Amino acid sequence: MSLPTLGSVSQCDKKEKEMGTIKDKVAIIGMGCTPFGDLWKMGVPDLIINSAYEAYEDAKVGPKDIQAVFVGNVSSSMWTGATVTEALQLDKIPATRLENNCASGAEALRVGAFSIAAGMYDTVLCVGFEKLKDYGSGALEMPGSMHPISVVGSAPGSFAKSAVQYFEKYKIPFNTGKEILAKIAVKNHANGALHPKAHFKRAITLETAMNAPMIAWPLGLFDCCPVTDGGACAIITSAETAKATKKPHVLIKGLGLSVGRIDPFKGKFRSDVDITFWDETWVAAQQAYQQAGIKDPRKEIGSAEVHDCFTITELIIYESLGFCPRGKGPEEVAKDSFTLTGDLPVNTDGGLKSFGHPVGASGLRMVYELYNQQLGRADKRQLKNPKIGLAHSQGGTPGMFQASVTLIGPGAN
Amino acid sequence: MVGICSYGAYVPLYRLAREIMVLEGKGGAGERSVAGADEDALTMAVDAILDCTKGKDHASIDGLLNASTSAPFAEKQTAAAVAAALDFGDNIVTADIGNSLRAGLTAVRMAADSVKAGSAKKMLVSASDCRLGSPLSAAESNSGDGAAALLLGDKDVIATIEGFYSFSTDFTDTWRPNTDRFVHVWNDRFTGPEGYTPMMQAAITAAMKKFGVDAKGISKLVYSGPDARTHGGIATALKFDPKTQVQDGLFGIMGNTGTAHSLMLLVAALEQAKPGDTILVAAWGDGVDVMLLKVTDAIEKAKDKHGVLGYLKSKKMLPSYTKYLRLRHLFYMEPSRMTAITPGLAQLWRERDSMYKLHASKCKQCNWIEFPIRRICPKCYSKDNFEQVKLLGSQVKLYSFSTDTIPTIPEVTDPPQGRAIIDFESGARLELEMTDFGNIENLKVGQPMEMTFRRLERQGDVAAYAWKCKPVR
Repeated sequence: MSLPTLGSVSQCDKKEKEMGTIKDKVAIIGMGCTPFGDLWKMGVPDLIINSAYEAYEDAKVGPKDIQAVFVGNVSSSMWTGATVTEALQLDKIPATRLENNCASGAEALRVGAFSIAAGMYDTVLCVGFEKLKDYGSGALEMPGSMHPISVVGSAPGSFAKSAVQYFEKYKIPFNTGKEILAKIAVKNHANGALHPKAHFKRAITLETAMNAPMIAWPLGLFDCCPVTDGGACAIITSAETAKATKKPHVLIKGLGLSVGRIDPFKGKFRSDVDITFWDETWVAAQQAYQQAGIKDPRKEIGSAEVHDCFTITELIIYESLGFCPRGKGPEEVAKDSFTLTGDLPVNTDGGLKSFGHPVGASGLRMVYELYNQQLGRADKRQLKNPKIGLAHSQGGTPGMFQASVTLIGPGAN
Repeated sequence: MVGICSYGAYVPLYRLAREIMVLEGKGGAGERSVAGADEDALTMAVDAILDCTKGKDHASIDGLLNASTSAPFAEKQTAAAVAAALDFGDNIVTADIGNSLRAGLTAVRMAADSVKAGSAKKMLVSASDCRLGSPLSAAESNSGDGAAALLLGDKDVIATIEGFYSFSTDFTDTWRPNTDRFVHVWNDRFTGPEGYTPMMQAAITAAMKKFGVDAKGISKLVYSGPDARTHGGIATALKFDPKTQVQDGLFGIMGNTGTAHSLMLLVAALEQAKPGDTILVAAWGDGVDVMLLKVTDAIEKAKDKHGVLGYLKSKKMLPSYTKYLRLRHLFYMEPSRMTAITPGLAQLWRERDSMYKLHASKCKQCNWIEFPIRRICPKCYSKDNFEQVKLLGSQVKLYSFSTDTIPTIPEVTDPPQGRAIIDFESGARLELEMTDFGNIENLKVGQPMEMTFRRLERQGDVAAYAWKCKPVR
């Protein structure tokens, strides 16, 4: 698929060779997810154990069946593959921690899927977890040793500048812009209210969202996702095994990952970077669409779980995933295109905003919702025709992202 | 002939109305200047020199003498840090001249002597102070924060130096033990009548005799003093006309800026000077230094500076005395629970060309400009094939901006912290902290900005500095 039709992706080098495809090679046969929230009573082992045992039960496997573990976690390099083998008492098997910022949970599934596709293992556990609340911070940490020119700042402060530029670029008056963003928060809270495991299980009004205290001007409290604890797991196997054992399952249709190269967290920026579009997300989506054979994502995708760390992020994601042309996100929001009853529901479980964002777990939590939609287990949120489900994670900050797109479709039986 | 080639000054944006301090009966009238929470004597010296050297080549500076009694470090040179930030050459002489309120004018004498002796062609002198009086004291109310800078040389001078006179004595009126943050003041019933008043009069009289001028031959008498009343008495006793012949001490709108005061008043006088004027400058503190200047025709071309009077016009009143205390870090603030980001001294050193000198890399193959310095060109993939280019001095525009309420940083003047992405005329774009921006809602994408060297969040006992941006004042 040709790349730069809508995006500002001209800065991406054209690759000599096209990548292969993961389509229909790997099946998810079980998933688990802890409730997300302020989990003061749960430690890291609890997040792992509770999500893994839900997945075991779902997949009808036990600890002795797990041949390898892939772990997604961001907040501490002290949480390793061994953290999972220790918690689950998995004895002397391969276990690896993967880190790709907010895409780390998706990364555990992506690399796990490749290990299955390579024929190395038959049953693999992919785990994502994060224990953020123990740090006591009200916003996402930016840990590690930074470039000295960088400021001590938070994620909202970074994304707020995209909102300012977006409003400027498309000549959106301040109050209109705030209302568009607020509608996205209202949608996600309405969806999250329908999920028993969501961090915030309550709907909010447009007024509440618009009049909330400012966090990072122009982003208010309800434009920002919370700091959350949680864990999620997937048990994967080959498509052949899933079919042969007749277990309920879904198939991975495409896996895209795109990592940028600038790093504004370190004071670095480039004059050709357009912070009103997520280039890396566009590229990751094109990779996944190509693998899955998707030509028109707006029509072929049944629902999407996207990385709405901030409302402005979700607005620009619509455009960057090709759900609508650039600059048309606000019109689609006004038409309710992405609500539960819209033509392409986005964040049916409430998204990061309402379900919560334990960074390393989020990618797998998204797939958990797509999996439940595919298997008809989504209760009040159940879509009539889930078609192909899309999960999108995006770590980093405007200017540079680690963007991941995972496509999930119906199983073979 | 040796003289002043250029002048500059810096007055921070913030003012405190003295009536706010009246609750203890010490407030008085008028207002004083107050440095922002991310400013100190070092950063204000950088700003004053930026004003002074506007349009001039920093590489031609042979030395910098920085005068201050409130330098951020007792051991570690301010002048060297200022010179590094301003990208002066490496082979220059730098020194801090401190410990006395007359150190500013003393530094001018030392710089002029080195130009005269031929050991330097262009010498910079900065004087900068952010002195602390103890809370609600007269010293706190009287003081102001600010800086001045003079470029000395023997070509293209705007005022020739006609002579110096110095008088040294061990008279103690104000002092600060090196274990104390606050300035101490002895009873002014003694310090004025027995010290400042007779000694200033005697020194100025002796200097005029040495220079062969009398009061009628002086266009403007410029001198420092502890407060408006004590200061005013000198000129009258020496038969100068206070209305026409005396530079106002700016006590009412700025305050006594300590070491910087005599040079800031001189800058104010130069801002209003005409060719042919004679200016007599005197600085008080452990004695008296006096300098006689004759203004040249070149003065008219040098008036493109903010100067003291220009900066005094641009101001923002502090809403409360508490706010003043916060800007001076005089009360405890609960730190935010974010992980401390600690650029170590080794990292600061490695990155100094970008961090301090504000150099970008320019690809020698495709001319792509990138900040900070990057070894591999993102456009043509040339490796280690770049030259360093200066960003400081080129025009800056605001690309985008926001505030951030999450970090509570003592070095942020008006929380929430401001952040910006800016575009340099040369093509570099960077994300950095924004300071002194007022109301975020009044900012516009594309508006002109300027660079200012400020303190970052203090890391333990190490104060880190970096360039920030602010709306043009």
